[in-house]
Amino acid sequence: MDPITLEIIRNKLIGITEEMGVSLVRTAYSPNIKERKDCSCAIFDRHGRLIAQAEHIPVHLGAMPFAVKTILDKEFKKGDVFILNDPYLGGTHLPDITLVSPVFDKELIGFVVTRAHHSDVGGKTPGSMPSDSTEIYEEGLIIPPVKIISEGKIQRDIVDLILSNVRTKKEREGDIKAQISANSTGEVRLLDVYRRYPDFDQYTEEILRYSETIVRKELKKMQDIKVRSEDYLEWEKLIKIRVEVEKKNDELFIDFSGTDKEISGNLNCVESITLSSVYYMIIGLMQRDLMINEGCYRPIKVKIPKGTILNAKKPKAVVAGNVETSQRIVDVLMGAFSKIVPERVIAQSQGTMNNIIIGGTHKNRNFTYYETIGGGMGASLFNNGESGVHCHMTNTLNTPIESLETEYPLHVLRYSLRDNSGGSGNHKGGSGIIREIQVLTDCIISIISERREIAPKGLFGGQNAEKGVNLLNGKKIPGKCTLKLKKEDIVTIETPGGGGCGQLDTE
Amino acid sequence: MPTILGADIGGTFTDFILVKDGTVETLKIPSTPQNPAEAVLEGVKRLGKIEYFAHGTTYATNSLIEKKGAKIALITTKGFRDVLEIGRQNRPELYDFFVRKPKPLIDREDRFEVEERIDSKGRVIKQLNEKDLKKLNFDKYEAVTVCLLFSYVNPDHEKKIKELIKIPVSLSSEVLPEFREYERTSTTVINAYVMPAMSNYLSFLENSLNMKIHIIQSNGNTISSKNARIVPAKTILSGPAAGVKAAVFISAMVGFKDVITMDMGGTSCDVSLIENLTPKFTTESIIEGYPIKFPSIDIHTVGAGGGSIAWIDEGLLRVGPESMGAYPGPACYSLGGDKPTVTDANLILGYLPERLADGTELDRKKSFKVIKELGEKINLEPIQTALGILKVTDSNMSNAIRVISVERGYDPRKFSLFVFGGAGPLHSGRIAEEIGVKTILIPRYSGVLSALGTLVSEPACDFVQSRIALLRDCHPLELEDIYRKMEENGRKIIDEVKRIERSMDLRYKGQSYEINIPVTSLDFDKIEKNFDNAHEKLYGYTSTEIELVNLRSKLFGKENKIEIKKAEKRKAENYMREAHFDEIIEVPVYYYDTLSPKMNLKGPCIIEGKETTVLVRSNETASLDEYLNIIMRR
Repeated sequence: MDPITLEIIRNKLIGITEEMGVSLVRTAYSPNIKERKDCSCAIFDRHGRLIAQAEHIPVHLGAMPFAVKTILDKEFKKGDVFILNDPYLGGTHLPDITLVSPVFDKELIGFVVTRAHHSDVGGKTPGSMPSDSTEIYEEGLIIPPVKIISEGKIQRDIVDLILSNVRTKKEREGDIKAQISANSTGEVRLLDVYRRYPDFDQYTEEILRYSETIVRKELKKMQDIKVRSEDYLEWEKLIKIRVEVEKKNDELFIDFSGTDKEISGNLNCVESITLSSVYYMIIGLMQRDLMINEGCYRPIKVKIPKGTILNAKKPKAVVAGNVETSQRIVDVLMGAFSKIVPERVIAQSQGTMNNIIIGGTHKNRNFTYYETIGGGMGASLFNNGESGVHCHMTNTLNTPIESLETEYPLHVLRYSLRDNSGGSGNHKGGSGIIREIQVLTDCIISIISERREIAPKGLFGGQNAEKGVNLLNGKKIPGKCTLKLKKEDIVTIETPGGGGCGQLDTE
Repeated sequence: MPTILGADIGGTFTDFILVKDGTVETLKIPSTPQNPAEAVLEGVKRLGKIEYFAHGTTYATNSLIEKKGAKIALITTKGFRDVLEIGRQNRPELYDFFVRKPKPLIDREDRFEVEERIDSKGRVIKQLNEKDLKKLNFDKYEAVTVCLLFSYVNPDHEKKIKELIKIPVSLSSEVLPEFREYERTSTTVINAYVMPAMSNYLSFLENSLNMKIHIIQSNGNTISSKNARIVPAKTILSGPAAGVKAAVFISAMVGFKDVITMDMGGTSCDVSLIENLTPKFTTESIIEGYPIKFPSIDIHTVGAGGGSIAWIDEGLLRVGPESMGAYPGPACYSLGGDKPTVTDANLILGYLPERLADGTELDRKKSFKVIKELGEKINLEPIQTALGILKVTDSNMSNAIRVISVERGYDPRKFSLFVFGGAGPLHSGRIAEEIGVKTILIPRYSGVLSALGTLVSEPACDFVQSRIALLRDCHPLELEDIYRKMEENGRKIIDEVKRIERSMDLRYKGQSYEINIPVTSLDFDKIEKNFDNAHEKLYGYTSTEIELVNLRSKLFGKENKIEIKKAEKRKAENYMREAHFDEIIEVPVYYYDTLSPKMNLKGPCIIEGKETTVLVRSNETASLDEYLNIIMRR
């Protein structure tokens, strides 16, 4: 195998996923895609193995292969494109719509895939993020893998069916078109590379081996040990997430047995989300650049018992699994790895995305405002944790106050760091944020937040951070709730800090 | 024609270009980082009497990079002093657990809050608490910046604060009356932060030279040094912007309209797009992690240069992103560099001489040794290894150029490649082929291009005023009034206003990004139609309800016409050297300085100049135009 051609093909494949990404972001309509880059692009080989993925959004990491797997046993021809969002058939949560294009030369050579967070896919609430869903049917339109393009022809009836089920047709159509065009860019480029390098298949085999070797070598440096860790989600009762991680030679065995059952709320995850959190953790632990593909994941065996909150069964609701449970999985894994590689981990971060949805009618116009709020990151053995940022599985931008107040009947009274919310220690955890909003009209607020009962933990003797607090007119309200607000009510969200690391030097 | 001089302070050298009666003289002097003005004054002294002086300087940038700016305070609306620190709440790296954001330029204890509030319509909903303000003591600060919410709609409270404080105050409503509080605050703070240093520097230069100085800004236009002191943050990207302006000038001379510029140096490569002789602009520059909202030429930096290190990564030959930089640099510099770099590969393949035209000695043996060692790890001969390093580098660069073009909505195949910087013309042929570009333009004076850019830039100044409303809800007279006010201010800055370009940033309601649309008259039908067309072209669809976000006005002063004489015929001189073109063969190496207009050279050959070395491969030709610019075709 020629080490030069190998590197060139590797770079070209990464280049293709990036080019698909910029094409998608540029032509998409949803702010989620456009501004927050809540989308992912990937290339798979003919066997459905992930060979390259652009580093866009952690929550899609483990989920892309599932989408391709559901297509593999279906019949398809050149020019077909599949669309899907069913979390139980290759999706994550319903707003994430995935397009899979098989790519043919004379025969099948691989697949290109885009996944993007659409701002509405129907369901009981605008934005398709209901805080109180109990079944997936309430969360929006479910699309199983179907052909949206068949042999190059758009299937208008499928498009119409989708558009009739969403609140913002024009946007949806624009976003889906953007994905189609990104897929087609990927298809053309992949074909270019395939035709230029006759031994393409052997090279992709080597590229998988390359990523695998890096991960194995890094794992080998870590001590062999079996460790356990657990933590809780806050629901009607506390829900346990438990993991056992065994590091043996250059492999990892990650077993979530002992995790609590799925629930009637929407904190459930499908298997792919749990895997995304695992993969995020692994990539972060490597501490070097990594080409994300199936090779990285070969040394890692993951067991997620069916029917638990981490591998729910249809028709459980899942919309908050993506945003909240995924964060807790990282916390639990971080706890386990702190006993394996203490120098590569951090104390618990805020562990929530603090989802706030405010909706209503103002001056005869419906409005829905959705935001997530940052908090503190955990400290490490070497550094303080960062303050006022999104942690781990998300990294979306805030909405500027001057933009928010111009567009919505809302008035922001405070947006500041939350003093003394980071855990103290030899290194201090980052501070949370205080966001205080006054509503200027009667409306409804939905809050999905975590870490309101159990604080983010410190590490190696560092102190715990402050828990988050939600207040209505100064009085405490629950971490997850839907409430009617009166004009001039004030909602205050104080987000959790990050845990401290190491004992405070008292001298 | 007056004698004019352009000077640009780069990292290692301060570059000069003098144009006198159409003849051009260039000069490079080692920069003097302690006081950059010394090198400038030395150059001016050596080049004799001048009547016009234009200058690109990284002085403001350096004080930002080195965190050596002023001690300043910030005053914000009560409840919002941390906006500067929280930023947009995202972290700069996704998969780095230890990630930190850049430290805010103003510490928390130096950020103060005052009770006051203005709403989105500009109505005062809480009066400014002057008593609060009077309690504060700003004695220990060099300056105070003020950024209150919605001050771009109603600046009254900011103005009042300025009246009440005794020391220098800069107001966000004056520096950048544009919405989005974090970016406005950041821009205002950076401006104040670099101001004292820049001001001292410019005063020193003015006093020493005793003449008017024209400073080039990030937007590629000049302003007087007097005004540059008030908005020093507008000069942050002045050097690279000047390079792009020179590219426009030369492309026009040669008859090219659409070019991708590629400036490849020791550690990085700057790429930008010029369409129809107009550079692309951005208002989203980020320097050292801090946003600056002033319009600047859109330049994208890729981390690949002559100093990029080649290494073996689990059986793959990789190049970069680590670089040896200028010190210790490539192994052949003999400054202690012990890693194989791109420059070392170019040297052992015979593309670079062992003695550069500027006298620098390159040690071929040292390059050979490090590349041989690298090759042994993958069972490759040194020559094959060196070729591999270049192939990988050029493939990476091509990918980057492709992604940058697509991101901005362009197909790179429709452009020519405009290549400069020391390392660029060694790589341009392969890169052009890879991205499907047919023609390459390598400018004469490519080593002092930014200095040339300072001379060909006309004075101009950008103004912005946010006004957020559905376009149809605005009255043309109201908008006219806003434009007039901006332009009144502009006339105080630009001496002789020759033309004014008005534009609007528009979007469909609900979107969070804007498109800049030129405005020739306040005919809303026409403006909306132009916006729809632009949106369609960029994003493939149109919508309804067009929202106005910003009004912009750019005032241009008198153009600086420069004429350069055509080059004279000379006797071409060359020597033969071994270099690798498909195999190692002897090829002619031409001295750039001995070439004549309208000469055609067939590859394989090498052109060696004072500032750059050009590789002409077997399937390429190089022809010289009347000014000795090189046009390569495949």
